[in-house]
Amino acid sequence: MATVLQKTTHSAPKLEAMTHLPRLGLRGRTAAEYLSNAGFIPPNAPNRLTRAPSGELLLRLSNSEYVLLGAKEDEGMRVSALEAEAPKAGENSLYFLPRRDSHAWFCLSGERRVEVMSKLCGVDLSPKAFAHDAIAQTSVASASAIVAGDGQGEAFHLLVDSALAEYFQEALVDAMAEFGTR
Amino acid sequence: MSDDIPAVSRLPKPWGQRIDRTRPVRFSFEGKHYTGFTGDTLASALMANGRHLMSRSFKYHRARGPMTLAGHDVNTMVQLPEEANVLADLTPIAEGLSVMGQNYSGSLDHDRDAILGHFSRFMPVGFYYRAFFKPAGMWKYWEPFIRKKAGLGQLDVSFKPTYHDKAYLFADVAVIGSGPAGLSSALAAAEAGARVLLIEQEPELGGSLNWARFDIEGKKASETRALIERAKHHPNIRALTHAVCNAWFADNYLPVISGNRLYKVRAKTCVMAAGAFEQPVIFRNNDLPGIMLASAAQRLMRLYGVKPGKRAVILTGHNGGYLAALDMLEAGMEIAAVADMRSDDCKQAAPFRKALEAKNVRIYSGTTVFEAISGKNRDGNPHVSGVELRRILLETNSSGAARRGEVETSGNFIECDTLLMSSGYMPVWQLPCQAGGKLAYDESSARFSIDGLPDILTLAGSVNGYFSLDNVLQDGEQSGRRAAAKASGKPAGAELPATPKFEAEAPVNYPWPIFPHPKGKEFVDLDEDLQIRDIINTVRLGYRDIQLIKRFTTLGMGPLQGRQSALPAARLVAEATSRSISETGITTARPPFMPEKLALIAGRGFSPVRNSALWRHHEKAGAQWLMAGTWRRPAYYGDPAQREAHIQEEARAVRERVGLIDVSTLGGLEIRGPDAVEFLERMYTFGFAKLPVGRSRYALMTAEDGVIMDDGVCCRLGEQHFYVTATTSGVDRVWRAMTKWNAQWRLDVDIANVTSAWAAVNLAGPKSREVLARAGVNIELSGSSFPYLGVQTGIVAGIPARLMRVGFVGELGYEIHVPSRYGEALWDALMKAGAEFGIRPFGVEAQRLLRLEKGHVIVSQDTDGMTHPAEVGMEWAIGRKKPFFVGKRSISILEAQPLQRKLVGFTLPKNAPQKPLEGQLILDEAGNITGAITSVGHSVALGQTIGLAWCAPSQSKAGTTLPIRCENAPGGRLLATVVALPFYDPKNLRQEV
Repeated sequence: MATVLQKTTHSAPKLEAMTHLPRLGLRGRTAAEYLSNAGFIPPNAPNRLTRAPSGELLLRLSNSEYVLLGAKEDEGMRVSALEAEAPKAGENSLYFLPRRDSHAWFCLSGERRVEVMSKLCGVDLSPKAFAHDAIAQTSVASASAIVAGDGQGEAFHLLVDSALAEYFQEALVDAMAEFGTR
Repeated sequence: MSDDIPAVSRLPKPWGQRIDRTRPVRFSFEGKHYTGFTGDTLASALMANGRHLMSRSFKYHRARGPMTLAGHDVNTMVQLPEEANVLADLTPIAEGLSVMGQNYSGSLDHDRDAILGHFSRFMPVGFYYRAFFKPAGMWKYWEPFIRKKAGLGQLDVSFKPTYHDKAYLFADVAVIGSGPAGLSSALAAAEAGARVLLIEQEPELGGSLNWARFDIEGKKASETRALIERAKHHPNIRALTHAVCNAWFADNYLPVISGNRLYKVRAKTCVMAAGAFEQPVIFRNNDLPGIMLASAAQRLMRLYGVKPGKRAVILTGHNGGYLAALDMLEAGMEIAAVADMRSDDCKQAAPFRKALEAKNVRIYSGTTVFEAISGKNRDGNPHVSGVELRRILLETNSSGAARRGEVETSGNFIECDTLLMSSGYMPVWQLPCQAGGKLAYDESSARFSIDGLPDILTLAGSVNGYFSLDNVLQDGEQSGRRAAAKASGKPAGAELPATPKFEAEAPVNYPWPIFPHPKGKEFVDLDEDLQIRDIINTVRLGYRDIQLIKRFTTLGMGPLQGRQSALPAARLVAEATSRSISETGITTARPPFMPEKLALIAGRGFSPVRNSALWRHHEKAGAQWLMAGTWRRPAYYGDPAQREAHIQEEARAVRERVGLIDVSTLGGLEIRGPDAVEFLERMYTFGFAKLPVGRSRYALMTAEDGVIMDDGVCCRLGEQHFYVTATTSGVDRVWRAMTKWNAQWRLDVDIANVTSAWAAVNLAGPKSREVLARAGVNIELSGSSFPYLGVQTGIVAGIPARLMRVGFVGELGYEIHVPSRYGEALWDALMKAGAEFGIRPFGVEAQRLLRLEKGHVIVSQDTDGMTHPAEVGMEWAIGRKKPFFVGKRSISILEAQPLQRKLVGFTLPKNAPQKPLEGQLILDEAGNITGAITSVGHSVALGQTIGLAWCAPSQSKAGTTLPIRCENAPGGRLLATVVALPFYDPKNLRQEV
C-alpha cells in the first residue's frame, strides 16, 4: 500500500444505509415552481443541491429534474407528505418519479471518504474540486450512480439502482476496509 | 540455526539510514539462513553477509552480483516461493522468507550450464535464427531441449491470486521523482497554490540526497535534506513513496504502481524529475560480482550501512567517481586506485584529484580498466579479484583518424575485491519519450538531451541536463513554478521568477567508455549477455537501423529494457555505420517502465449484479441462480442433481394448480404526458390510439432497419399514462431508443425507466384467481369484470398494486406489480394464500418451457440481430394503417423480398432417442444447413419434445420433416416434424377464462 506521508488526523469512514428514508423524484416544466411552493429552494443550476433548514436535500439533476431526499431529523415526514400528493399523469407538466423504490441510498462520511471513493469512481471528489453542494452523475464501481455532497462538506450521499444495493454496498465496504469501517 | 551465516559487521550510524538495527529479520537464500535488518532489501542483506552472487546470466550462465542497487539491472533477479523474477535490490526482506536463485542447472554456486560461456563463439548473436532448422526435421529434436533451457524462474501454478486494486488520484501538478529537483519543484508548485502529487519510487523522499555526495566536503547533501521535511509537511503536497510511475499517457494520465495498487493519476501538469541512469564502462569481464556502479556502492553504504568490500578500484569518467572514493574512504575502505579515463590535464578534475591525493590515493589519469580478473570470494564464488589498468591512447592517431577505445599494449595489475565504475549518465528517457520527446545527442558533451515535449510536461534536474546541485535546485524550482502557473490556467510566465543563473558545469559523460578486448566478454547488455562483437557483427550482417538491431540481437529487450545498454549500443552502432549518435538514436521505450503484473492491470473487478426485491426469499426457497443480463434470476428451485425433475414439476404445478414466479426483472417504463399516445404510436409497431384505459396490448418494437428490437406489454393506466414492459435485458436499450427518438420529435411526454421501482410476480395456473381472492384484493376478479388483457390498479393483501391479466405461460394468470419495498410482503401473502392450493414457486426454466408450449417467442433467444417480423410470424403485430413507426419503411421493403428463413415449431416423436440441444443445426434433404434450434424442451403437457427452430421457408409447412444434425443420434440425425403453433391450448381457452 502507498505510504502517505502527509500528516492528517483521519477517522475511519462511515457508511450509513439511508434507504429507509423517503425520497422523491420530480420532473417537468413546473417542477421548480412546485418545489418552491412546497417551501424548498431549488438549486440555481443543474448538478447542484440545496439543503433545507429542516435537513432535506434538494438535488437538481438537470434543467427540470429534481430529487428530494428526506431528512433524518423527521424520518423524512415532509417528503412523505409530498409523495402522497402525486399529481395525475401529465397534469401541469409535472411528473413524480418513484425514487424511493428505484434507488437505494447510502451516506458515506468521515475524513477519508474521498480516498474511499477514489477507489470506485473516476471523478475528483476532493473538497477543492467537488464543492459540498455539488452533484456528479457518474459511474461508481461500474454502476450508474448519483454522488451528491451533503451541503456541509461532511459526507457524500450516494444513490444507485435499488436492484444493485447489495452489490454496491459490498463494493463500498470493500473499498473502506483498509481505512477501518464503522 | 546452526547453518546461519554470521552477518558481516555493518558500518556504524549514520551509515545505514534505511535499516532499523534493533529489528533483525531472518530469511534464507539458496537454503542457507541469513540475518538482516528491517529496512534491508534482499540484496543489501545478502551483501551484508558477504554474499554477492545472486543470479546467473540469461545466456552464458555467468555469475552475477548487484550492479546498480536501484532495480536497474537484471543481476539481482531471484525466485520467491510464489513469484519469479523478483529484483532482490528492490524487495524488502521478510521474516522467514525463502529465496532461491534461478536459471541454473544444479545449484546457483555450481551451475553446470556455466560451461556454456566457453562455447560462446559458437553461439553468436542471432544464431538461433539460423540454427536448429537444418537438416529438415531437426527442429522437433531441438525444441524440447530449448524449451527446457528457456525462461528464468518457476511459476507456482498453485498460487492463489492476491488482492490488487485501483484508485484514481488527481493533482494540479504531478512531480515524478523526489530527489533535489523533484523536491524543489514540488515545493515551488505547492507554494504557488497548486495541489501537488509527489511520486517517489524509493521508500523515502529525497532521492540522491539520501546517498549521493555532491561536494568534496560532503556537506551539501545534508544541508539540502531540509527540503525533505518541508515537502513532507507542506499542506499542498501529497507524497506517494514506494510508487513507480510506469508510463506517460496523453494529457498526463499516469499509471502509478504502489504495492498492490494501481493509481490512475490525472494531473493538469507534470514535472518529470526522474533523474538519470548512471552508465557503466564496457571492458572485459565488466559483469563480475564485486563490480558495480559508483552509485550502487554509495547506496549500499548510506542506506544499508554495508561496505561493498575491503579494497576498491574506482574507474570513472567524471568527478562523481572521486566523490564516491571520498565516501569509501570515510567508510573505512581502502582505495587501491582511481582510474580516471579523462586526460592528465583535465582542469575540472584538478580539485578532486588533489583532495584524494591528499589522502594518499593513487590516481591514474587517462587510464581505464582493460580487464577485470575473476577470483573467488570467501564463499568460493566468482568475484572480482583485481583489474588490469591500461593507458587510453589519444582520441585520434597521427593522421586524424579516430582511435576510440584503443589502449596501450600493456598495463598494471591492481588487486582489489571491489570495482566501482561510472562513465556518466543517461537521462531517464522512457517517460519523456512516451510523451513525444525527442532525444538529441550532443557530441561535445557526449550527452543525450530531450526536447519536443508537450507544454503540460516539464523536465527538471539531471533528466534535463543539470548535475550540479545548485543548478538542479534552481531548475526544479523554475519547473515547479511553471507547472503550477500552467495548471492554474494563468498565462505562461505570469508567476515565473527571473531566469535563473545556472553555473557552468563540468562534463559528466566520458565520450567513449568502450574498450574492446581480443578475448571479448565486454558486456554491453547484461540482460541478454550481448558483447561488443555481437553489436558489431550485427551491423556487418547488414542491420543498420537500431530498431532492427534490437530485434536481431534482443538488445534492450531484457527485463530492464536497456537502461545501461542503450547509450553504449548507440555509440557502437553509430561508429560501425559511420553515422552520428543522434542519427542512430536509441530504441523505442514503450510502457511499462518497470515490469508490471497483470494483476495490477486487472485490479479489483467490478461486475454489477442486480437482485430483485425478492432475492432473499428465493435464496431461502433453494433457488439455483442464472444470470439474465446483469440480473440474478432463479432458474429453478431445489437440488441441482434433480434439475430436470424440478423444472418439470414446477411446470406441472402451473398447468395443474398454481405457480408464482418473480418477474421483477422485466423492464418497466412509464410513458406519461399529453403526447404519450403519439409517442407510443411511433415507437411500437402496433396501434395504441384506440387502446382503452384499463386494457393492455402486445407491444413489438423494431429498429430503423426493421429488425425486431424488443417486445412487451403496453398497459393504459390513464388517458395520458401508459406502463410498458420490456424484456429483462432489453429495457435499457429500449429506454435509450425512446429518449434518443424523442430528442428529435420533441413530443410532450415523460419517459421514465422504473424497472427497479417495481417488484412484480406472475401468479399463474387454474387456481390463481382463487389464490388472489384468498390473499385479499379490492378488485372484482371475475372473467367479465377483469378479462384477459385487462389492467387494474388496486390493493392486494393491503399493498397498492397494478394487476394485469396476461398469458405468457398460457394459463389463467395475473401479473401483479407493487412498489419494490413491498415485494417481499406480496410474495409472502400470495404463498400463504396459495398454500392450500398447492402453490409452488417456479423459475425461469419452467417459464421458458411453458411459454414454449404456447409458442411465444423470446426476443434475443429466438430472434437475432437480423430478424424481422415476417420471419417469426408476427405480421399480425404490425399496425399497417399507421402513418409511421420506427422501422415501418424497412419492414415494407423486407416483406417485399422473398423470405430467406422462417421460425417454426417442431415436435419429436414421443419415442425419439434423445432430446436435441439449442443451437443444433437444421438441415435440408441434401444435408445443407438451413437453420438452427433456438428453443427446445420436454413438454409436460404434451409428453414429447417440442421446440422452435430456424429453417428454410420451403421447410416451414406443417407436417414437413425437419432433419436435425445430431452426431450422437442414429445416422447422425434426429427427424422432427414441423407443427403449427402454439403447441398447447391453441384456442387459448385456459388463459382467457
